[in-house]
Amino acid sequence: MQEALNNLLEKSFSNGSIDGALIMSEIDSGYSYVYYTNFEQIHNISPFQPVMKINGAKVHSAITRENDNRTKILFLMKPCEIRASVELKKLNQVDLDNSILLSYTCPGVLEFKEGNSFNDSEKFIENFINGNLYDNIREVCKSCINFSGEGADITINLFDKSFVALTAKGEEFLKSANIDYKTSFEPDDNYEKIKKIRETNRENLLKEYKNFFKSDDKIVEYFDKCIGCHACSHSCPICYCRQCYFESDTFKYYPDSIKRKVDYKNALRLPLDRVMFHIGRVTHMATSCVGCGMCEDVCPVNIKVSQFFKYMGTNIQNTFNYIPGINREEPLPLLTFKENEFQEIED
Amino acid sequence: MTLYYKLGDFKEFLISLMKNNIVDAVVVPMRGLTENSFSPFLIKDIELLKNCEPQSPIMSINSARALSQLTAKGAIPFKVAAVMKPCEVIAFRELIKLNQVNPENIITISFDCNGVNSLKDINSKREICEICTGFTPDNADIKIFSIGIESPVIATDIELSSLNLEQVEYNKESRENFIKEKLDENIKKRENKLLEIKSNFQNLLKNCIVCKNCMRVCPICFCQECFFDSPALSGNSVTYTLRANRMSGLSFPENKLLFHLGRMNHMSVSCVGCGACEDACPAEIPVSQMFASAGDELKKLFNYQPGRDIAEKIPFTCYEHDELHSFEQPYLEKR
Repeated sequence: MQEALNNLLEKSFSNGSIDGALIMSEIDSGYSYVYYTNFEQIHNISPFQPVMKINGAKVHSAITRENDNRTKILFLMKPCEIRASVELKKLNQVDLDNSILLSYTCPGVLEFKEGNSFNDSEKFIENFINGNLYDNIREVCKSCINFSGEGADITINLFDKSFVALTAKGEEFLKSANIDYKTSFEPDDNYEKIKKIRETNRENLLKEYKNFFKSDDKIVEYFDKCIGCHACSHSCPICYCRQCYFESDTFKYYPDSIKRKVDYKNALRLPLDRVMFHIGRVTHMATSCVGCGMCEDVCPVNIKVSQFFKYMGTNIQNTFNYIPGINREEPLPLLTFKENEFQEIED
Repeated sequence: MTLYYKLGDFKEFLISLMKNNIVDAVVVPMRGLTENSFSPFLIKDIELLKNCEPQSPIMSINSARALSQLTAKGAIPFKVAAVMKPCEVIAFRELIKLNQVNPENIITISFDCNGVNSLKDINSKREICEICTGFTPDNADIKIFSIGIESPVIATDIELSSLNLEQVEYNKESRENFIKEKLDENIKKRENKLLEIKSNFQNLLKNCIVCKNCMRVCPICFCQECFFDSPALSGNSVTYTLRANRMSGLSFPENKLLFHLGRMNHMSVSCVGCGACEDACPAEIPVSQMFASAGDELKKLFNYQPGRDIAEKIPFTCYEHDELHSFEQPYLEKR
């Protein structure tokens, strides 16, 4: 498949349909995204390396948030990164007009420390194509059911080794490069088998969490070890705010207010607002949570952050009947006001 | 004048400080809800204080940061005793110099520190603690001595007569010898360890994902907007394309080495060696040891010891016309 990809890149650079491409590659310090600006630069690409050191949507945003409307760039990213990019588009943090989003059927990623020096990605893919779930992938990857590359312009179906055009733009792009492609994703048995396993995992996770969070104070227990470093939010592709509300002046208290708080509670755990932060973050971004698992991978105290967000996110997304990152035209639930909704949960 | 008292029980001592109205509240580590979870708490209730763990084996955050947060908009409006590890006291004093904490109404209490354990592995000590050279509570208002002597002693200039503590003499010589021995041992270990770190610098950063969590937990890195997160380093589709052209490909996450060297440049002279950065690093990079390797040399160069004297200015905040000529490059002459 990599040969076909190389072919696509070479033709696309030479016929001018792209000026740049972001592709996972092997570099001195392991595997990283590399932004290339001509075909000659491209070497050692390892597009399906099971590692995510930074959610690609963050890179997409860094490069295209301010754009000249001329530089056309191809982004080859994992499905959850694509979905994050689509969400970021709705938040005006990326440019999609000049981007070609290319994805692939994703087997999941390892914890980034392991993935950064993992040298067996061919076997890893082979295992996936044969319908098996690898044990060491991120927990959220094990219950990810949107792994076909929906949301992208083009996806690479590793099972039948084909390019699939998902949008008109993607189709035109493949056509102009003279590449054979399909116009719809054709799932095979092994794909369905993996999807089934993951659906079961997901249901189990939702059940387990529903059981755990039977009372409000459980959330305090869940985030008990949190040191308030906010690494989860800073690694989150959706949390794009330059100034996080929870790091803003609002949460720096006047002396009176400190006194009132401690008089009322007799003790304050420090740093202040540790759990408040997570509750706040979940209300801000769970509708758009793509379940990439970066938050959990960077947590220094091993809190299962992404599984919590998966649980909350899935419930909230179901409530709004919204799947983040798939449909580019669908507006964000939090930006849509409907007069007659949720009256049943009004006081 | 420094007086010495017998310390019965650390917790009882804190309780008596509150009972006798020396302070109204205490900042001290206490257990969380789950196993091996500790955090500093601001405690106003004597009953709750009975559960505190003044010498907790975990540093969830450097408590100087917590005090900075508590005093962000003015001094705490009641008297507080803050039980801190020696490196936390040093960080507190550096933050005073940087105007990031209001020390009014705060009494610091510290003790001979045996180091803390890693947040990730409760059974192993932070590596930076193994090579710590500041394990005595030199900079605190109330010092608790325990190493090299038979039973713990409170040393303080603060008026504590209302507590009716028993004044004692302690074997100063024995203590000093003990400290010197341990210090010599740690200095030696430190030199070897840091030499090893320095020779392997770039390689150690292999797994760095530039999440900047080291900076976010650092007690000294107080900037609301870090330079390395600022628009100064960001770009757009044109500048990134130019950069990638020039460098034959641009890897992401970007600015890895620049970030660490820059941060080192900004704060390693004040680095207190608490190890919070290393413990918060998801890639398990020995960040604090890397910073110590640069920090130690800088401190020697400027004859600066963080936290030693509040009146002593941080080297970067004072300009001297005649210094460091040996580092100057006479590039004008050459041309």
